[in-house]
Amino acid sequence: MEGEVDAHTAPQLKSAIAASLDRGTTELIVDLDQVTFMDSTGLGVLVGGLKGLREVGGELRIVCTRRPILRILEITGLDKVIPLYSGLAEATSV
Amino acid sequence: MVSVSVPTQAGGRRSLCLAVPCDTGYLVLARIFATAAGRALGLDETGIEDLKIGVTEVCSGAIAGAPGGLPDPLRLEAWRSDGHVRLQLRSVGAIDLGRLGEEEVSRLDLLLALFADVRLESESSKGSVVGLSVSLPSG
Repeated sequence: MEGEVDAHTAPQLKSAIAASLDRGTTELIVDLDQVTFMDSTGLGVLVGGLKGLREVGGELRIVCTRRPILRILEITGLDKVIPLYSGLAEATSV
Repeated sequence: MVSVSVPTQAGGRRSLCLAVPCDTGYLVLARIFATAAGRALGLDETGIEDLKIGVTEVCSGAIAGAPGGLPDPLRLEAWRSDGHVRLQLRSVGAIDLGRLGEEEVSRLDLLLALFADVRLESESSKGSVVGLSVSLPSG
């Protein structure tokens, strides 16, 4: 993913996650390293994706090193429920 | 229609203003305004990031509160006061910030996590006003 995630663009992220779930994906990595902004709509989509994956025994992982994005994940406590990784290699090696 | 006025004297204060259509397609413009206003009014980078989130959330709330759109634009105003940058959004419609502790992350959840003084006033005849503030860096 890249760019800004808000109420205008979050539906694209939601569709991508839903499509992955429809394909039977159980381990999903969302790479936010090229995302420069995320609001509550984007966070809500991530939480929705997490719930969908957990319902099928799956897991959501996030790759993120950008401070502004990490900050809102921390402030909202999502960093405690969604595992965060500093790179794709680290996230895929789990 | 989008309009910018820099600076204005609204209510006797020197302020930066932006009027944008009630449409999610203009959220990016509202964030550009937040960045420019935050920088002009003296916020540091963290403060500017917070202001960008604040602007996005209140505008999104106004858009959510007016699902059919609005005849008048959303009006954003930012000014400096008492060691803070204050931001206000006026809408002729309702502002829906969601509820605390909703199943997913609500606009209000994120606003209250970032800002100590989120104030929402609604008057059916005059529309709604929401305000918040960001502390200026000390020194």
